[in-house]
Amino acid sequence: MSDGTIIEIRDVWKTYRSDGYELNALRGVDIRITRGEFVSIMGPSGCGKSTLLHLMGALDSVTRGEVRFEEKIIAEMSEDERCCLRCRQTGFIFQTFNLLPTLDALENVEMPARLSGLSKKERREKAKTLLEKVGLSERLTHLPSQLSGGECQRVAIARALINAPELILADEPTGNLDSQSGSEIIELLHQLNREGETIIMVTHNPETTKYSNRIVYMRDGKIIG
Amino acid sequence: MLDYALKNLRARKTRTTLCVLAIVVCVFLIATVDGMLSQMRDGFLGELTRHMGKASLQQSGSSYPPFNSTLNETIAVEVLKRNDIISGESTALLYIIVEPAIDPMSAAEVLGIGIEPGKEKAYLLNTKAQKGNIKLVDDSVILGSRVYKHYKKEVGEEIVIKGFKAKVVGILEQTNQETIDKAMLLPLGFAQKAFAKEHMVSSVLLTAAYAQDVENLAEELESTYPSLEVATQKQVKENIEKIMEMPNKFMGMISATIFVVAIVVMMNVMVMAIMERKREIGILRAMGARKKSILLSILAETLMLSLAGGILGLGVTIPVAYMQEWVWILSNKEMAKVDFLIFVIGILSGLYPAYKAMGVDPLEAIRYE
Repeated sequence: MSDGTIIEIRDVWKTYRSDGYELNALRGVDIRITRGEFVSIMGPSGCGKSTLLHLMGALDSVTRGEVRFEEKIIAEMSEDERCCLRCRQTGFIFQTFNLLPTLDALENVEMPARLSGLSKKERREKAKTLLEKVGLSERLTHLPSQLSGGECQRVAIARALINAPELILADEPTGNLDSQSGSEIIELLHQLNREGETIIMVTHNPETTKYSNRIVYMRDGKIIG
Repeated sequence: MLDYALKNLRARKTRTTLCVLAIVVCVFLIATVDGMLSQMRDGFLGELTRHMGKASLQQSGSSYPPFNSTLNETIAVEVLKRNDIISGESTALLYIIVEPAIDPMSAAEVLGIGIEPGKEKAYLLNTKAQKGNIKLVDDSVILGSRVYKHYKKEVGEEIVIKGFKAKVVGILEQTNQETIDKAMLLPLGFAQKAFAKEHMVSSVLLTAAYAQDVENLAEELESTYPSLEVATQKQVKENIEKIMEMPNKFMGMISATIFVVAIVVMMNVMVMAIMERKREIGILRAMGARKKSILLSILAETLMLSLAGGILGLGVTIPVAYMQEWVWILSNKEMAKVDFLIFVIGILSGLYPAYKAMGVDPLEAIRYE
C-alpha cells in the first residue's frame, strides 16, 4: 500500500444472527481510502453505513472478508493492538457526542491521551490547544451538561484529535445539531482535512458533503456508487 | 484512572455516601466483635500464666473457676501441711458468685474469693494495688479494677456483703484477666460466714516447691484423694479451650457474616453502578481503553470506597472504644487486622463488577444512542 492507502476493505460481509434469523448488514463491500481524503458515506437508514464505519474503527469484527489498516489485517490483531489502534490511530466522532458526563470539557479531551500514556502536563497543554482550535477556550471547565449540542460536538472533535490520529471516523456528526451548529462542525472538519487529516464521514444530509472529495453511496449493505 | 474513579465517586454522592456508611458500620462491628474475642483470649492467656507451677485440688468435674466445687476444710488443712509445696504461696480458696454475670460469656460480674489472709499473692501473683495495699485483715476486702467501678467504693470505705460490713483496703490494677479484674478478695473466714459456707472451701491452690514437679504432685494428690481432681496448667488450658470454643465459633460467625455482608453490599452497589454506566464504559472502550484499565478503574473505586469507610469506621470506633474503655480495640494488632479487612473488602467487592465492566461491548454501549 505504498500508494497512500490508509484503509482498505476487501469483500467484507457482516452478518448479525439472532434466534436463527440472519441479517446481512454488509454484503461484499470493497473500498479503499487514501491519506488526506474526505470521504462521505451516504445512504438510507439500515444500509450498513455505520456498520462499515465501526469495522474501519476496529469496534466490530467482520463475518467474512478483511479490513486492512495500514496493511495490517484488523481481524488478526490482538485485543490490545485493536485498543491501541482505536486510541492512537483513529479518532471517533459520534452523533450523540458520547462525552463522559462526570468530566469537564478539558478532561474529556484529555482522556484518549491519558489512555495512551501521555504525561499530565503534555496532555493538558494539547487539550487546551485543541479546545482553543475548536473555539472553546472559554469553556474548558464546563461539564457536558453545561454545553450546547454544537459545543459538545466541538469537544468530541477535539477529543478525537488529541492523539493526532491518522484517520477521523465521524458517524453523523451533525445529526443532533441545528443547521447553524451543523455547518460550523462541517467547516471545522473541512479545515482539519485541509490540514492533512483523513476523514470518513457517515451522513444522511447531502448538504454536509459539500467539502467531500468523494461520496460513497450505499444501499442494502452494498456500495452502489 | 484514579482521578477518573474519584470523579465518579464524587459525581454519585448518594451511592458513595450509602456505601461508605455500610462500611463504617461493618468496620465498627468487626472491630468490636474481634476486639472482644481478643480480650477474652488475652485474659485467658494471663490466667494460664498464673497457673504455671500450680495445682488446684477441687471436686471432680468442676467448672472454671470452680464455683460448684465443695470440699471440707479439713482436707485443705491436711494438704497444706505437705512439704513438697511452698506453704506461703498455697492456700484454701472459696469461690462465690457475688453478682451474677451480665454477659453470657462471663462467669460472674463480681467474683467473691475467700482466701487465707497473708496468702493473697498465691492467687494474685504479681498483680499490684492501684490504691491501698494487698493485705487482708479481718472484715476487709480487696477489689478488682472492675469491681471497684461496679461498687464505686474507695479505700477506707465500707462495703456491705450479705449484711456483713467489710472495709476496702486495696484496689487492684487492671489486668484484663476476668478472675482478677472481677474479683473481690475476702478473708476466708469472713467469706465462709457471710455466704453460710462454714468449714467449706472450693479448692486448694498449691504451689509446687519445684515447678517441674507439679505433675508428680498432681498424681500423688489424685491417688490420695481419688474422689477429687487436681487441675494443673494443662487442665486449666483444656478448660479454657472448652470455654473459648463456643465464643470462638459464635464471634467468628458474626465477624464472617459482617465481612460477607460488607462485600455483598459494596458488590451490589457497584454492579448497579456498572449497569448505570455501561455507556460510559463503552465510550472508554471505544476510545481505546484496555480491559485492564477498566478493571483497575473499578477496583480503584471500590478500594477508595472501602478505604473511606474504613477510615471513618475507625474514626467512629476509636472514640467509642475510649468512652467505653474497650482498650482491646485500640491495640495495633486490631488496627492492622481491620486495615487488612478493609483492603480485602475493597478488592473482593470490586472483582465481580470489574469483570462485568470488562465485558461491556463498546459497540453495544454506544448503540444506546
